[in-house]
Amino acid sequence: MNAGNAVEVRGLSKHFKAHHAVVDVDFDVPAGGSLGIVGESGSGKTTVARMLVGLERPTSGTIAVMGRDRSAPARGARERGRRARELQIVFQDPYTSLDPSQSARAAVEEVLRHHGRDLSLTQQLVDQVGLTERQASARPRDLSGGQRQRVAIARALAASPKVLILDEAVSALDVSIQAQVLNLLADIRTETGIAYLLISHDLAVVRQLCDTVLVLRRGRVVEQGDCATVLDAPAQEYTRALREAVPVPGWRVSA
Amino acid sequence: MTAPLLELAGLTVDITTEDGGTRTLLDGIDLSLAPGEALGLVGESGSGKSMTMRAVTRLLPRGAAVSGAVRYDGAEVLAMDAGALRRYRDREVGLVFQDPRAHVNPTRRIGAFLIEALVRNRGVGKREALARAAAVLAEVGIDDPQRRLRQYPHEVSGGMLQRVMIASVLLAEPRLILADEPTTALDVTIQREVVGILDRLRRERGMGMVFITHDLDLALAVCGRVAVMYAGRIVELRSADTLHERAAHPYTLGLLGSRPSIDERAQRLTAIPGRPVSAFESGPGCAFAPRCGFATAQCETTPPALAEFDDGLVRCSRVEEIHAARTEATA
Repeated sequence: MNAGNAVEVRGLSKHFKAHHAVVDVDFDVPAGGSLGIVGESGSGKTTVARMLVGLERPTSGTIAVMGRDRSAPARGARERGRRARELQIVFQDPYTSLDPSQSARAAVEEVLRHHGRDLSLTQQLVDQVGLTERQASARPRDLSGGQRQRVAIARALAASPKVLILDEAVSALDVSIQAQVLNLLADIRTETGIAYLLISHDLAVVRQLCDTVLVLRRGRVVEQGDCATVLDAPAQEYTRALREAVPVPGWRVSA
Repeated sequence: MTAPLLELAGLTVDITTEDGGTRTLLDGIDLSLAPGEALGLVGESGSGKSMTMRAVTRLLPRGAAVSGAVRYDGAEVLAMDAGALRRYRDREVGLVFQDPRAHVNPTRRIGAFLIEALVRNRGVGKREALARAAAVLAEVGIDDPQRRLRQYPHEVSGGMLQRVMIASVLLAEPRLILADEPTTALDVTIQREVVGILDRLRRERGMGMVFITHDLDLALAVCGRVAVMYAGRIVELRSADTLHERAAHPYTLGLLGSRPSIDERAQRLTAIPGRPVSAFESGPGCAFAPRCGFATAQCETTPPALAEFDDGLVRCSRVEEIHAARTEATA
């Protein structure tokens, strides 16, 4: 393992009976780096994320995070806790991933306590994600989608992870709110040196937040490299088609 | 000037809440759509874009009070009796929604779904109806239509099912299509195909289309004119060709700045602070004022009117000053 990598994935595959969801995928996320995995429905991008957090077991291949292998399930609470401090995940819909009875503050405190961290960090985390006092005391149902996503980010950061997986984490947000959260995520990476693995169908979001990109199709890597190289001069026909399908200024359907 | 196909004048929708209060959802919408024209309605949550479409078809929630006018081909839709309303909905207007699976009976074959209206409402024979259904499936780019007619909705992909929905709309031969986020749930490559099909059929058949989306660039690609909505009102209306260059309302400018670009990474996106609000949450003045970097004390108290500016319509009291300041900054 290269010491400069936060995540190293080699030969990763996942088969669901006859369906090969992920086939022989290799990638690295450098420490403090930001990799975007893009693909359409059925590309396997979410299955990759689920294997990284331990929600699915790989059929074959290896996953190492911060130099430690996690291809096999964690043995015991101690190992699970350590893995949680290495890597956290934020999902698309915070409404279904937050406890409805818990305020933002309580959600963050629970994670801090679990990892034996100082509870006085709560305020710092609440401020870092831009929640007001009133919002931090509110329950999820009284918050907007963007505010709930800020809570989910604060909760993930409470474990002080080295890597954060963002699984379509800004996809469901209104455009003006999505911009706020993208700016927030960029700031957090600059301040903390955390690495991101962004799972997204949106090439523009990937360009904004990531240094490198990997294009997946039907479970296989089509192309990977620096965002500028892959998006400006795609080597593969599929990447070109994906890019050209995105509505941009001047794009007309009737052309 | 041809008579408009659809005309909305001062369309306002208020809803009565459980505690007896009223909440305004749409506040004085004026719009007109020419036959064969494509008009985009763009906005975020609470902007009223979907409520506008529901008001046009009178598919409003219980307790909604509508005022103003909806005229279709000169007829007052809000005054139609049950029979006229049914004919209007069945024959004149086609609706395409975001999630086709929510609007199709999963236990019936695609063929049965497609011919139902023709057989029951128009008295077309079953054999003839199936032939028309197959022809229209071919028109929306579906290969092997005979096999598709025998399939169930769960056997086809989301993109295929959305084409089936468009085919079902076309079978009624409407003159107006209302499409509410029709491609939001689809992959981008499929989205491109589906909007391409909608566009081609609209041109070939001369149908008017109202295309509702949160994606400003998609609306610009599909439509001739685009109305940007905020808090139940239209804040800017322009030709799609010139919107990027001439956008003048601070909210439209904010939307353009919020969207990341596929071509380059912005140092920072020019995010709009705060969150979008609904009409009933907004104060007495301009609904956008609390989020607007140009707002003055007067903006908070005096509601601006939608007025002509630079070949478009803009609802902003300070539009000329803002435009002058921006022109100077970029000169």
